[in-house]
Amino acid sequence: MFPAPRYPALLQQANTKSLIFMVKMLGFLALLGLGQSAVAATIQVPDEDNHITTIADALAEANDNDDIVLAPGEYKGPLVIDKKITLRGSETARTVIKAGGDQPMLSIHANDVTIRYLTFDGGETAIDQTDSIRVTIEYNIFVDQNSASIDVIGSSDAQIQYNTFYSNTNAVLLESDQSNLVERNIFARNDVALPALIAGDSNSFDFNCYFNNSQDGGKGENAASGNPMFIDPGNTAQRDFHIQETSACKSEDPGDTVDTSIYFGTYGGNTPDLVPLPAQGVGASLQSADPLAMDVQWQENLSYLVGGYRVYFSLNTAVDDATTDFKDAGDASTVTLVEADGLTKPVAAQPGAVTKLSALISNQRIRLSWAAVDQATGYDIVATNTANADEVHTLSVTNASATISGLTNDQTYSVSVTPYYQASYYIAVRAYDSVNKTQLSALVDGVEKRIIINDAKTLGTAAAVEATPQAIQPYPDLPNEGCYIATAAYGFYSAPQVQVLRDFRDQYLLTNSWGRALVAWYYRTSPPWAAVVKEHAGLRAATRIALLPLLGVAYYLTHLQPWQQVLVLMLLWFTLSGFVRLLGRIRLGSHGE
Amino acid sequence: MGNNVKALCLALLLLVPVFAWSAESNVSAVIQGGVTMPDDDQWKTFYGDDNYSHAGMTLGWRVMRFFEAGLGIIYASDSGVGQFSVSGQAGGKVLLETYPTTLYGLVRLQFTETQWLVPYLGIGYDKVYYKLAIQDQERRKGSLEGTHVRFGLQLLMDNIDKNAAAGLHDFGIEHVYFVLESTQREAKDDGAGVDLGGTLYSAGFLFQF
Repeated sequence: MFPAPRYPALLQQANTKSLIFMVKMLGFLALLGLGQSAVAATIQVPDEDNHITTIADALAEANDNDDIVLAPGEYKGPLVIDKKITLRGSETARTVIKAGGDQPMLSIHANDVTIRYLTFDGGETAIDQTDSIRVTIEYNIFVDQNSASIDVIGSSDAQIQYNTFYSNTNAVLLESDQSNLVERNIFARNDVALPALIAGDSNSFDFNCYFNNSQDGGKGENAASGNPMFIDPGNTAQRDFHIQETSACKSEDPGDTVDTSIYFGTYGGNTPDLVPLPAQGVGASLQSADPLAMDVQWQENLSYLVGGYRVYFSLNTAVDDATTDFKDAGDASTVTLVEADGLTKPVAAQPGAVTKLSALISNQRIRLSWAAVDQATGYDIVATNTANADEVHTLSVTNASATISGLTNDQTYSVSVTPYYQASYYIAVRAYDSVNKTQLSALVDGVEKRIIINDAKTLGTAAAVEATPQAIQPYPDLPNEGCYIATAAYGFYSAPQVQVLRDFRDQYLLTNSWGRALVAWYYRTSPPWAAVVKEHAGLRAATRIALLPLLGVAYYLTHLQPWQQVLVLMLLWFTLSGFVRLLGRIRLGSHGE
Repeated sequence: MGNNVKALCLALLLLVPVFAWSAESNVSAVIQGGVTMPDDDQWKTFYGDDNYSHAGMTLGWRVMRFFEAGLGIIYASDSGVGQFSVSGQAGGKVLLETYPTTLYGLVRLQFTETQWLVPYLGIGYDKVYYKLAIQDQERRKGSLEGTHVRFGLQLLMDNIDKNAAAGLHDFGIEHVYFVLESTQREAKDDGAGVDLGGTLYSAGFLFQF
């Protein structure tokens, strides 16, 4: 017998060592993994780099303890939260969640969830909290929920605080004896604010403010009542639930260290969203070119959280977050910018030549693009019909691209692009908060104005191109089966009379449910009639006559300017009243005889 | 041809109550998806590919063991470019969406309830609704009438996982089939020179209730 070779024992030993090493490594990796999962991450929505475009994407990505932050914008429910996370908006009033159906916008099925700085607008139920504990819902706005804003079922130790409930059927629904806390909220114009507190109920309602609810329910302790003085809650384009200094919804709170007057609701407490809403009603004008001075005014923001305004200015380029030149206007709503504030008289500049000009044609349109020209602050574009010099279209843009529309198909246009330098200041107004004075309102459309300092333009070298806009023929060239009878009566789809009726359909019928139903009925029933009309010349003529009144009304409503409409109405009135008088005279005459 | 097929399919549907007793399970639903190969040989020029995807569902009534009638709807879309009316050059984005609705009759060669492979052959009347979105132009919508012939194979899944099949019985689903199907659709308007016909290759599941 041969002795057993030694290497299996060595191998076995080596394997044991490897195994121990691997177990240690795995343990280490597991610890690392645990460590990673214990560290809270912040997930931004949207985040294109990480392919997160919706809240649902973020929820799928999130782990326990993560913080999901929503950029201002509109989001859609329904959403389900089944992890211990925080979901918050970056600006309460401008981070809006809307319903995507009858289901709750947010369904919470996890413990220790926090929801804050969001506006829930419309729908049946905003938040449905089921079988979860220690959920915090704070600093949110709930408006126009048909069923309930917050429905807490089988859950305990919820903290519903510093929210605003406005115009909801039920603001908060709670089961009794679940140790939930509802405090420092504002309930205004709801059908039912809170359920009644029953004897021995462990739910606690404290320091809430009530105004014009049909039923306040169990008000609890330390209740306040009176007008919260919201700034503009009815403006559906941008609801403003910030509260004014004269609000009745505030109280003395000895526990507060910042301010003895503590406000209730979304914009109360110590940690409300401090970013003011964008400035409104901004206007600016040039007071003097030399010395340079500009007047700027805006609408006062009445929120008690607004500390003042900064007026930003930028020579020849739009104001953005990197712009550092500003004048602090304090709490005024008008200011005059002068050279001492940092305005500088512009120095004349000569733009270069337009290059890489290209034209893309489309239906009645020419799309132009070119390379941006150094020193150019804008571009004048002129499109002239080469067959009809009287048809000229002009346009002025500040970017290196433009679309000229309203052109005639199959006509060739000579298009020139001329760069120019024209000194101008861009002025933007941003409000800041009253607490830290560092939270600035956003730069959105309307908060920036452009002031031209000198009407004279220094022109650069133009470039020109010729292009012929044309209709696009799709493939397959399927017909549009709209306006069947009119098309049959007038003989062809593109007849101007048919176009007038189509315009009427688009502007007055398809914009409401009754009109859409009428159009749908017409499209269902008219094709057989249209086929008959099409076959008989006599019927075509009769239909054209029958359509005249409708055509007249459609043309009146869709193609006349308001002053022309008034003129036509007056003419009609005079004609009719003259006709009635004439009839009266004829009758009187015949009686006299 | 179209009217005759339509009349035949309607007659089959009307006969449902008369023959409903003759089969053990009478109602079926199919969910399927696949690709459409358009008959139009210029499709690739404008849409960049010679096929586009579709998805749809049908509801069938089993009139007798061998005959089924039903209704179906499919959604299909393809995006491409049009051409300029004068120069003929390609340009302008176009999105074509079609919603063929169908009224059909099938002959299913099924001799026992547990037959594992069931071939079938059918014909149907189609109304192909369409919507065309053209860049910078008015949307177009309308419909074309057509007919189709289809052939397919239904593979009974019940024996593959008997427990799962038994579980589905609780939801009223008697049998589940995997379906492979080919459909040849004619839907053209010779006067206008347009053709929305083609060959559809589909796969899906049939649930028999």
